Amino acid sequence: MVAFEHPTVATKSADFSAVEAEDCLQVYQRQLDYLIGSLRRLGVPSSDIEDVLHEVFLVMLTRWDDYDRARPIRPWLFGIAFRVASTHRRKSTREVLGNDYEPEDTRKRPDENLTARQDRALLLGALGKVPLERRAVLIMHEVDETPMREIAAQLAIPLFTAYSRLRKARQEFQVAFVRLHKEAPHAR
Amino acid sequence: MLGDRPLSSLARELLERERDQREDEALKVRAMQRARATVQRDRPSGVDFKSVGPAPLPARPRRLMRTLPLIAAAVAVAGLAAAGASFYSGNGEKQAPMASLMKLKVPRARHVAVGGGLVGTAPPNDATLERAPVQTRAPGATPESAHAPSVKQYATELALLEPARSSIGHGNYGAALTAIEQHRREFPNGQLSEEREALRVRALWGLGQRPAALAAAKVFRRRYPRSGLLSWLKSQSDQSDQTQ
Repeated sequence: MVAFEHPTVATKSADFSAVEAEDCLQVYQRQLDYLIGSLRRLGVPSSDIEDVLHEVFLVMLTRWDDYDRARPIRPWLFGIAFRVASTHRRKSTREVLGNDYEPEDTRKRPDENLTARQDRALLLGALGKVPLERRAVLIMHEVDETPMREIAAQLAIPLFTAYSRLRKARQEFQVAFVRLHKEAPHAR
Repeated sequence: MLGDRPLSSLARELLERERDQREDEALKVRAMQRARATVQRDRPSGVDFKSVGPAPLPARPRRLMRTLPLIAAAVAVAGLAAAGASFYSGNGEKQAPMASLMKLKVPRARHVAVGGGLVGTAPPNDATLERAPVQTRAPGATPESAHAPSVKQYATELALLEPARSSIGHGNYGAALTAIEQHRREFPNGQLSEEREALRVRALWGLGQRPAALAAAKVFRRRYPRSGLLSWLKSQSDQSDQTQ
């Protein structure tokens, strides 16, 4: 699934930048689920998600003019999220993946919600075992279904490197997934 | 080419499920509030730091203003007493009242007055005179040099708190709280304590921690009942009450 955004065409007027900013804000709102999910998959702890998310927005706002409207929005957003998450990880020198994930609503159908939570914790835990640079390629390809050429462009790496990272990431992810699946008694 | 080892069906299923993952609604609402606040304007923190100026009006001049009438009264009493004494002594020493008044050392009289009594005729105590808080400043000394430590501390405090204020302005409340905590650790009772606590309320409110913000505001109002730094809070509270 590749999401495109078609922002409002802003006319050159006095409040041009305000229109652009509002445009950016609307795109941000539509992509919030995706951005938050991406940050979780990139290993940002739940307690830091809100601040990191805001940093992503600030970068997004700053670079809004650079966004090529002819291209899908999500790879561009993921590129920003990846860089912000990498910087955040360097600063905080800690990464919690899977363990601190708490979904919002546990009131409706608690058994089903619990299973979903455990499944997601398992997935995030396995992703956490893959080094961030390779994990980014894996997520973009397997979750976001981004074409490899686009992945290479957004992460600023050669296409061949993107492929080799994907191959290695898959191996690492699968090994970790199987191991965590066996260790987790609740896993399906 | 794309991978030597295929992913298991469960792993693939969970990865695919991530595409439609819905996230915490409250988190999204907070994120939008912060983003909108950033876009609309560089939102002020609601807290303005008091200006340090060349010499912030410290307690000393104010105390001087309060004690000045007492000093004047003490000098007058001492002068009258001295004039009376010379008038009745009859020792033949012709001394004008004003001359005897001029002989009186103002610092002594001032010391007596500051000491709590207006007994200007009390015999001077040399030891207390040495400790007297009189005009010890050199003629060329400026008021700024006398208050240099407080100005320096003010600058240090300001450097610690200004990032908190700008962070709030950019909607980065977590970072603001970090700066606020650092200031609290280093200057628990500093010159900008009032501003710091007002910023704390603002940051907690911005983070959506309304009960904590209101509790902090309550403490703030108890400690600074005449402060106007939380005037924004009332309108915010009213607004949120209306939306609920």
